Parts: sequence; structure tokens; C-alpha cells
Amino acid sequence: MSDCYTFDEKKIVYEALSHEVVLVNLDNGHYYILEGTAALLWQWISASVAVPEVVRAFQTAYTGEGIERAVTDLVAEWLAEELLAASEVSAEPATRPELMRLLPTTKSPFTAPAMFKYTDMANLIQMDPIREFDETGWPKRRRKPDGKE
Amino acid sequence: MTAPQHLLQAFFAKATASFHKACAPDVPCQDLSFALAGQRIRLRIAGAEMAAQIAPAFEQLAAQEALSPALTVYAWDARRSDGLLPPPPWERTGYFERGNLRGYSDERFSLVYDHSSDVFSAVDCLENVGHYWTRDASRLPQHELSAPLRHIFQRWFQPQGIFVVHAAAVGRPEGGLLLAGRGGSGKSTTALLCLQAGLRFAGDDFVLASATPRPYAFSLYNSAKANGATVIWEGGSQATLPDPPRVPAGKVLAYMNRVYPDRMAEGFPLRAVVLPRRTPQTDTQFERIASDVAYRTIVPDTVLRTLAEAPFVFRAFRELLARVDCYQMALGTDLAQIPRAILRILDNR
Repeated sequence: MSDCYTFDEKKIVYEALSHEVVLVNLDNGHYYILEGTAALLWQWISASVAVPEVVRAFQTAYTGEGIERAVTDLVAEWLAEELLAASEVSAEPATRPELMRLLPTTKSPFTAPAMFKYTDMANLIQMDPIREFDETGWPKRRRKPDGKE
Repeated sequence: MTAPQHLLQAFFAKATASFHKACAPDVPCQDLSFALAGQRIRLRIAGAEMAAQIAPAFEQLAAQEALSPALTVYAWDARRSDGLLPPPPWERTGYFERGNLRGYSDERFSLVYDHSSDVFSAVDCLENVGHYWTRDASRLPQHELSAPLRHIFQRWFQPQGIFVVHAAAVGRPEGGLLLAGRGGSGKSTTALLCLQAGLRFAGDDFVLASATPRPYAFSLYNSAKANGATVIWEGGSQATLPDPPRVPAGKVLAYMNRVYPDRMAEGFPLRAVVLPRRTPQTDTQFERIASDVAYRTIVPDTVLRTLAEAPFVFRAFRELLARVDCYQMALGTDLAQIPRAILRILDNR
């Protein structure tokens, strides 16, 4: 597994709210709500901070066991969902102060990251995928249920 | 990847030439002018069928013809071979493909082909020219008739901080609200009940909105879709319904400008965003919610309907919600209570 990750800005859009991140995969219409530590971890990991550094930062900010496992499991899940991709470039040091401000100033118990995935709107963009082209170069028109164009 | 600009310039020139070829002596060409979000738009339509299909949705915005429109959009189809449009040079644009859509966007050009409607929309934001094309205007689906050209408007208005939002908008000249939510949440029913109750109507399904300099909703379409059995239609007229064969079972598409011409609003300042949801209870109740809660509830819906400009909409919507009051409203079965609840929100009671 690579240490640093990024996301494709043309495919993934996200917004960090007060206590959560809303994330949409524009390619398949799936969207996600990341709560609590998952929201914080997304902001660290997607900024291409190396995973071991993220683990250390969270172990400093939080008490409790299992932080490293929680981080690596979540990264694996994001990779499986194609939200992240390996990055050759690591985060600039200048990003650290902003990321550090996201973490609690007094050591707090670590709560497991929570990610909720929704697929209920995927049909908005997947109902008539473009598959074939006609002789003019335009996609063939969608077919009706009876098979006619 | 940014496409070579000369390729897209050449494509736009070909597209405009295709429109002019389509305007043969026996194909009527109709010029419409309308005022949208303070901008004068000229819509040039070739063919009676295309005009009949897309022009009614903008009727409420009709304005005197401007000598220098801010944006000119050409709309035509290819039922005659003269109207054929060569496909854009997709392979050299670094296009994206997402399910129904194939598109390309850079600082100047935006091109989107929507397979679900067989509509190609393109806009050159430097020359302020748009193209709206399909192979057969008579086959445009209902969702396109109710909200045509929205990809063009989404991109062209972006530099002005104005975006297309999936919501209804009702209110008074001094202030109104957005009704946001997914299909079936009750936003159309709520909007049309409010219209019947005397509030002004700025849109049912898509409106333009801006967060700055102040939150504002601009009317975009006067169309409305609702279940045929909805109480709304008691005051309506059968003449407002489109050609019946194109109306899916249980749904009607109507042009509210023809039903309530005196209650159309060009727009109004926004005071609130309301998220309705249907309930089996009798009474309608509402409560204030945090803007973050409203955001996460409604932004995926709007973003996934405006894929080509999603990052901009994602951020602009948050800025808008942070500047208005947000409510969720449990709609009761006693429909008379619904517009009263909306009035209480507008009156801040």
C-alpha cells in the first residue's frame, strides 16, 4: 500500500462541514457522509499526508487503541470505493498547521470513523449510459423498453 | 486536459452554420427575447416543432428584443439533413463521460451531450453564444420540455455566481424561499398550493440562485410537474396541458404562466430554504435546522443533476445555505395548512 493518496478533482467533489464531510463520486452517482474522525481523516489523507504521519498525529490527539488499524482500514475502503488514488507527491509542509487545527486541542478518546454510503441517486446518471455510436458520430439514441431507438 | 481552443472555435462556427442551414425558407425561424437574472437572452429557434417544445417554459420571462443580447442561443434539430451537426472533436478535448453524459468544460467552452434526452448543449462564454441541438425535437422527453437549456445556463451564469438549483421557489416581491428536495418529497405540491394561496411563483423544479451579493432566486422556467390528481389543478385549465401522448401516466406538465399569469415572479430575495417531506399525519409542522443538515440533505441531488459544473455548485450552494434560514417541513394531509406554514416562515413567526 502506498503512503500518500490524492483524489481526482474531476471525479470527486467534497465539502467539509462543521462535523462531517459530504463527498460525491460524479462518475457513478454514489455519495458519502463521513462523520467524526472519518471526516478529519479524509481531510488529512486526501491532502496527501503520508499515512504513518496521519497515524502519529491522531495518536497524539486522541487516546485509545486501534487508531492505526482504523486509519488503514478506512483508507483501504476509500481505495475500494475509488475515492482515492495513490499519489507520488506528498503534502506540502505548509498544509500542516491548517490540518492540525482540525484536531482536538486536548487529548480526547478516539471514536471509530463512520462512513455512510448512499447509492439511491445513481440512477440519475446511469439510466442511459452511452455505449454505441451511429454513422454520424453521435451516440445512438436511447432504446425504449421494446428495443426501438 | 484542456482542448485546443481553435478546434472548439471551429466546431462552434460549424454549429452556427448548421443552424443557419436549418433555417430554410419553409422552416420558420423564431426569435425570442427574455430577461433572465437581469440579463437579456436571445433564443433563436429553427422549426415550429422545436419552438413549440421549448419556448413555453420561458414565456413568463418574455422581454423586448435587445439590440445587444448578453447571450444568444441557437436551437434546432436534424429532422432535415440541413440541420445535421457534426459531433464535437471529443477525442481531442479530454472529455469526461458519466453515465448518460459526455461532456467537456474549460474556462471558455462547455459542451454536454445528454443521452437521456438526446440533447447536445454547448456554450462559448467568451463569444456568449450557445447551441441547443437534438436529432428530433418531437421526441424530446418531458423532463427536457420542462427545463430546456439548463446546462447552457448553468455554465454561462457561473462567472456571475449564479447557479441552477433543483428546487421550487415561491414568495413575495420582498422575500421568498426555496423548496428543495428530491422527487416525491412534496416540493411541487407545496409550491403549487402556495401559488393557489396567492404567493408568487418563480419555479417548480429548477431555478437560478445566487448567494451574493444577497441570497436571491431567479425564475428560470414556468413549468410545473405534479400528479394529475393533485388538488392544484382545480384552478387550472386543460388548455395548459401539453400534447397528451407525451404525458406519462399519473404526471402532468403544465405551464403556470398560462394558469396564473399575474402570479409569476422574475425573482425575489431569499429568506429561507425549506426541505419538505410527505407524512401521513394530518397537521403540517416545521422546525429550523442547521445549514449543514440542509446541505447534506439536498446538495447530492442538485450536484448529480448538474454534473458538468458540479464543483462550483457544491461550493456555491453551501454559501447560499449559510446565509438563509433552513427548515424541514413535515407535510400533513390537511393541505390547507401547508401554505399557512410557508407564510409563517416568510413572516418569520
